[in-house]
Amino acid sequence: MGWSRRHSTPASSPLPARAAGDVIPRELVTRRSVLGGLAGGGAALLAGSLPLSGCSAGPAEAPDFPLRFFSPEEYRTVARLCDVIAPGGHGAPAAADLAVARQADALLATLNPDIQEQVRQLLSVFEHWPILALQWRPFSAQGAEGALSYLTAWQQSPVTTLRVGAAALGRLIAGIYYADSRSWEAIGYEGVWIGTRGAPDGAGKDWPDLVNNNVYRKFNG
Amino acid sequence: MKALPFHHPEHPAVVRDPAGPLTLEADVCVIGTGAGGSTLAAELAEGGLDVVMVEKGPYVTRADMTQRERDMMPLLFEDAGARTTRDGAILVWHGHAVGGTTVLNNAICFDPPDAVLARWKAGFGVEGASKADLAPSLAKARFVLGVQKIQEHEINRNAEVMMRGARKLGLKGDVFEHNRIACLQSGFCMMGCSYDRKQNHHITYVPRALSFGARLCPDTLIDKLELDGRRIARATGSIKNRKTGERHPFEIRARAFAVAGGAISTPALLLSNGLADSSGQVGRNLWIHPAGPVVAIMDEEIRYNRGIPQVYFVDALGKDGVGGFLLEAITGGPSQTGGMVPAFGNVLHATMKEFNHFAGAVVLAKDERPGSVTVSARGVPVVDYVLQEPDATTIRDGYQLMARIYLAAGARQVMIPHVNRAYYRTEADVAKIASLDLSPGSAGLYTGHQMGTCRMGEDPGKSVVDSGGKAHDLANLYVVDSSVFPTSLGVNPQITITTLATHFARRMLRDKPKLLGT
Repeated sequence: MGWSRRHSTPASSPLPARAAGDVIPRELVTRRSVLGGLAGGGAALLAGSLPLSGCSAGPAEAPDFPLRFFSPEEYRTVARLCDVIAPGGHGAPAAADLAVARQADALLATLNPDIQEQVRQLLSVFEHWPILALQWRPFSAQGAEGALSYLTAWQQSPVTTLRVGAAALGRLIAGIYYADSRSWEAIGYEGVWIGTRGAPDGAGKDWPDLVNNNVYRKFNG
Repeated sequence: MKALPFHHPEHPAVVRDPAGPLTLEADVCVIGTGAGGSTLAAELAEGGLDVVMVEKGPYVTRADMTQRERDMMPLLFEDAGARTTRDGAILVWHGHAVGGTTVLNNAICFDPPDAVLARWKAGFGVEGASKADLAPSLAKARFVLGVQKIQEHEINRNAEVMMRGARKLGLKGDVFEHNRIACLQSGFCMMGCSYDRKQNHHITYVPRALSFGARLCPDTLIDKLELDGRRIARATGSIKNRKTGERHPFEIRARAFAVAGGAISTPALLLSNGLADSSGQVGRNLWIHPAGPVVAIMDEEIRYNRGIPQVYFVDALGKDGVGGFLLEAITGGPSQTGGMVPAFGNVLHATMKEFNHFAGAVVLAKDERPGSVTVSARGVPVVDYVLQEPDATTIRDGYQLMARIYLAAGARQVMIPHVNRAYYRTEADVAKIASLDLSPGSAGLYTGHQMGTCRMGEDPGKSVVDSGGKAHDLANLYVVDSSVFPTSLGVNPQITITTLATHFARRMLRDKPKLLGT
């Protein structure tokens, strides 16, 4: 019962078969005993204490626009996530074409500091979790199949924190991607009505009385 | 020069964009302008009191409403719709604008359920709030909001699918009552109505309050309530000048204060100030109507984004006011829909390619196991809520019934946003839902209805406010929003909140000297 028969997710396994680009064995992600103790804030602390620079994907180059929320490293992780979640093709634009990572940066800069901190912790753990599992390539350095496999493994994990993390990252990227009007044609969404679909233009220049004049009528009940 | 109408954002009664610190005085300060706050303000102003409404969110009008999720979710939703429970498992949606959540709701109107009101009296000692007691306030709320039944010509294809399936199964469903007038059926209610046809409180009760002399301060955050003995003497915070981006000190002195920020912001404000919590109940008893979407893929084109977003429902609530669920047809935009699909890459795209063949509904559980609201070290509300039994079983029961309805309606397959990425095509598939894992992060759940956290009752040891909304601990502090519900309501709450606010206002006006401390 996979979610698309046109794409190969075997019914017997919720996880994709391990591909050459995989850097995290499925059995590691699905073993509570290995990951359970690291699932919460402990994982973030551990990620922060490891000498990660020696295992990184290389120094992150800052994008050619000012980042409002992400560090260059975080931006690189999110940009890679965008490639995985909405790679484009089949008539759809790629998330990179829509600057989804940049839109995420702008959106997150407006949210409350608790959410911002959680996102930073999540991105840190997500980027470096392969290293915690004794693999040598962080997420953003993985190939296309490996990166998709890794994200899917998080989603399918019995560890709550990983599942929740994958869901949050998916919501963020897919939510921004499909909010962009340039993604609509590929799914057949017809778009907004204002000024396009025969309904009155809501961006009113006048302020007529409300259609419901109950506002100013006396209630005699 | 023609006077501006009271629903115009530049009306002189709207206090905004000050150049420096601002200090106001009033009889009553109402903090929050959603279904509770704006109603209370209008009723008290109509009763002759000098009222100031304070709203931390912006004053968004139809001129600002673009129907685009990208623009409107950051503008109307708290934290752009990204707020979740502490464990990240459940999206927590509520409004952040003048009019509160009513600006982004789907305008569903249910009268307060008799069985729930009876339970509040019998189980929690709520007095004077029976169906008969509330009848005059309910009548007025329905009048001002223009409540009426959805008409036959307003039934969209998304609802038709659910109606067809329910009828085949012999289920008794109905179309909703709603508060829209001459709806154009554009389908963008959750992004705010661009045509002022949805009778949100920001175009009904807020201008009604202004027409009776109230004032409104948007973009104004109250974070401190200062005591003078057993009375709140003043509230302080900051007001934003939208032109410069600066925030200036804001202070308001009033004889009475009503907190109406909703069941998350209201307890957060009280807890931050250490107020009204001798019972230890502030922030506890959070109910959220956990909601689980179900999507059918139909062979025929549905275009479920078209038309009134919520038209039809099936009632499976417990008849004694305990447990059960509603199944409500619902639509969504591409961003909300895409964000809920638990798939990536080509699978995500292939799923979303079916967008125009989706039919959507949601299981709305009347929860019986509460969560809580606390405040983080940074002063941000923290929502703790984990789906427990029997509520998880309620959701599974709802998923199953909804899947059966869709299959009876001819769905090619049914999807539940869940990490198992399962399709349900047969009764054997549907039977498996009975054991579906609903632990955090497994299923896509959200809440649009938060209740409880400052429950009412006559026992000061077990409740935060009395049956008229007044805090037991303080002489001039009221809570007037869904926070006061002693239990989950089971139905969409805007009419119950509006009715209770009207009812509270009538009680307050009955004894003005006590209210004003004179």
